[in-house]
Amino acid sequence: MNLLSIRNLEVEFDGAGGPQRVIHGIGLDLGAGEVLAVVGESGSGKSVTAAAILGLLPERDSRARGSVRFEGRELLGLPEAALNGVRGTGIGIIFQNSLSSLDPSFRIGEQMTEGLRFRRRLDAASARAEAARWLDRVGIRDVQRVLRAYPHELSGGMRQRVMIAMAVMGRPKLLIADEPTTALDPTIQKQILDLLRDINREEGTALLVITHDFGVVSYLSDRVAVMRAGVVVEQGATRDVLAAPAHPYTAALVRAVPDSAEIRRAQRQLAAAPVSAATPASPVAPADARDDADAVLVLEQVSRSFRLGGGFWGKGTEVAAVRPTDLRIRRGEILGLIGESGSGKSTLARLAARLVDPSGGTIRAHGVDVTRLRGPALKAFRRRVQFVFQDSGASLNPRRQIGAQLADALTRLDVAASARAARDLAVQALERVGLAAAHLERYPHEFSGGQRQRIGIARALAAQPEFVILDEPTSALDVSIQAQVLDLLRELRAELNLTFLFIGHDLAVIESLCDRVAVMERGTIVETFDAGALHEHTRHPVTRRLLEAVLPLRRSAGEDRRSAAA
Amino acid sequence: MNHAVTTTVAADDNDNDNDGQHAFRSAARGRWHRLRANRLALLGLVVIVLALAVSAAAPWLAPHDPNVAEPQLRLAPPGAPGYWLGLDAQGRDIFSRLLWGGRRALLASIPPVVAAVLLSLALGLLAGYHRGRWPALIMRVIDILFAFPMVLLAIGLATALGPGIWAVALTIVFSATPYLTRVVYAGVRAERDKEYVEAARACGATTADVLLREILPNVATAAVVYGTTLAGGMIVFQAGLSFLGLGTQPPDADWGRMVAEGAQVLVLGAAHVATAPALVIVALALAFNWLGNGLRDVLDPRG
Repeated sequence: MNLLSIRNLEVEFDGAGGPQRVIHGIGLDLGAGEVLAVVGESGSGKSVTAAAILGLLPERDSRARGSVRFEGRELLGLPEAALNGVRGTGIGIIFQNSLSSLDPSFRIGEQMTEGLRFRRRLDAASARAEAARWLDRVGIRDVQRVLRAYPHELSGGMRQRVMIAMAVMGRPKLLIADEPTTALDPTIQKQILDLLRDINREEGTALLVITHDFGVVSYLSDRVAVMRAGVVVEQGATRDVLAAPAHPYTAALVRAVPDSAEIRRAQRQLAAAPVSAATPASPVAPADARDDADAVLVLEQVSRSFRLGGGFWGKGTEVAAVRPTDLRIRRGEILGLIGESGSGKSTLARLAARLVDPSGGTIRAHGVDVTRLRGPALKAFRRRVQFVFQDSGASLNPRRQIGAQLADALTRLDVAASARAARDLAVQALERVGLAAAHLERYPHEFSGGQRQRIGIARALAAQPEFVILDEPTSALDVSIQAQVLDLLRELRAELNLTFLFIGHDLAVIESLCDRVAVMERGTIVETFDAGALHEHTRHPVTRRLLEAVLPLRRSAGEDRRSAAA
Repeated sequence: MNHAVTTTVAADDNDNDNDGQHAFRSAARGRWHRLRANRLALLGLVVIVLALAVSAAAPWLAPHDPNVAEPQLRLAPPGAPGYWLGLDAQGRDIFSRLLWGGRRALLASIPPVVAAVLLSLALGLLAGYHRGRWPALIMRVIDILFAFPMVLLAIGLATALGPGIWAVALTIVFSATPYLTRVVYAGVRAERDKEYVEAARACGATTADVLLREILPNVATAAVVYGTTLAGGMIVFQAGLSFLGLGTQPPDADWGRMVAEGAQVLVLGAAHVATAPALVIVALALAFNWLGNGLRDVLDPRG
């Protein structure tokens, strides 16, 4: 008998135009101790499926039909009280956003012990000891501090560990993880996935992992089900599906994942190489003394600190986001900037675009220091240097039509003299990124994420800049849309002879797109090298750490799982 | 990386390719439909428009001179021939006084609330967008206004300017502005650090551009909605000030004054004198609340 068996599951939501079916009769099976990944792009219905299993769909405007059997017992239609018995002890769940799934106004210890005291009738002291034991089990070193902490006082990775501890404390037979690592850094993601795998192996807990990331699928799962628009288009053993996808949609998705055999080979070498061989890489090359003719932008000893706190009376404390750093961006290149979150990548990019003023150092473009520019001179600089933001939803004004926003950008930069000319240029820019004039009168929320990111690129290109800074432009996008945006960037560079500074955390993307790579840690660039040299042994430890966190696909059946996991 | 993906996977990327103009019009139509679907909000709107129209047309609609008394008909109850709402203690037609009183009551409360909305948008944008001491100073002055007893301010203003519509109107501006400014300020603080503001600056937007063209459209809705809700309370407050004798002076009509005059004859059993204006005040206050609540749901382009 399977641990979990889903048959003909259908889910309907009440929409404006009557009931809308979002899950169309899917079937899934999960054996005891097995790891099943449900993978799909946004809107494919994977999270709705998880919610339906646990009876967590909104009761008022949704209906689930079919059969969800857990240990042979039908869960659909079970009364709330009986479901509560299943949740926690039978099935545990981990949500994507650990900040919103932990109660912000209670300490971690209180939230963890509540369930123990309620369900297992433990007294306060033994409940606390049990909670501490589980925190220790999920790799939290500072157990007593974490027990006393409020959720916001912990990092994202720590919170996710707490969530996992809470979910497995009741020793469930099945753990459902809904995008457990999507909000996390690659290096933290790897740690959390390793933890989930340990729990699966050592406690025998079956895992149902919901993800959009084929790296996670490949790393963690025994079997995979691919969902699209509420239908399971393909399922089978992970290694078979990735090596030889049967459905064209799966094939297209797998192909859209940027990957390189190089990374996998390098990882094997890293695993084989003794740790002592990890000499810190060559020191940062001194700023090139040649004249600026071949560079679009030269940053020298640029730094920025922010003042935290301090109100009417106080001064607050200084925090350095970027420490004195040098960087030359050569004309015509795509320079990749990588580093863990909090390493100062975004601040450095904003300094280069003069969106943030430096606390010290100089930024030269065409031999002129731009850090003090104002008025028309600053406008001329902005015409040459444009910025594409990570969150295409947030970087467009939600209350204004995109045509007005594009036209405003052009008139403010004095690129277009009249409203008419601005509109024509806006149309041209939209057409270049594959959108049409008909889109001018729409509001941002009427577009998909991929379309919005293309609008963001169109806005940057409309002023015909020579240098474009892209701050994680594809991080929020599905893989297939990411592939489109990356192709668009390559095309634009070839056509318009642009220079790009591309910030990212996906090393495979960086490697396939960029000519050179700069690596940041704690506010400075620790090394810069040609993209082809990413895998050399002399790389800085930070770069090696980022490299080890990559989750490559096992595309060919012959590839050994151990090597991918190393 | 494969180009085939573009066509196979992303078909749904182009699914809303109909005419943009059409989408915009249907959005506006959608908002009107939602307002109509909200019965209470629609009722509120009808009551407000009716009150404004009838008050504005008082000279033509009022059957009698509001200040001319018919002493022999003093305190005649509703239904007296030619005086369907009855007469007050001096023998003046209550219906005519309601119409004329509406002019003063609405004039002394609605324009000041509009002024307060505009003032709070200006203050909130300036204080919310900039950092440092001056914004903090603006907000501390707002805090002081919160704590200041407004009736005391009204008495002060009435002493300085003489009792009347100006003293009341200014008091209402000072009463409504702190609440509205807090709302706008909070909105600006939330919008200020969003990426679209940064994106506008990357495209050369000046501070004025950012404030008026980017942030204002995102905070104006909240101010309008809250201002509408607040208008109901301010009508009651205005009536209260008139009741205290700080507003319209005898013999002119004003709802608050009419309640005050009616209260004096309540003991004589003539409840209708105070009841009619009191009901009108309550109805309008409710109407503004309902409309405000309805607007909140309607004015979001995303909803």
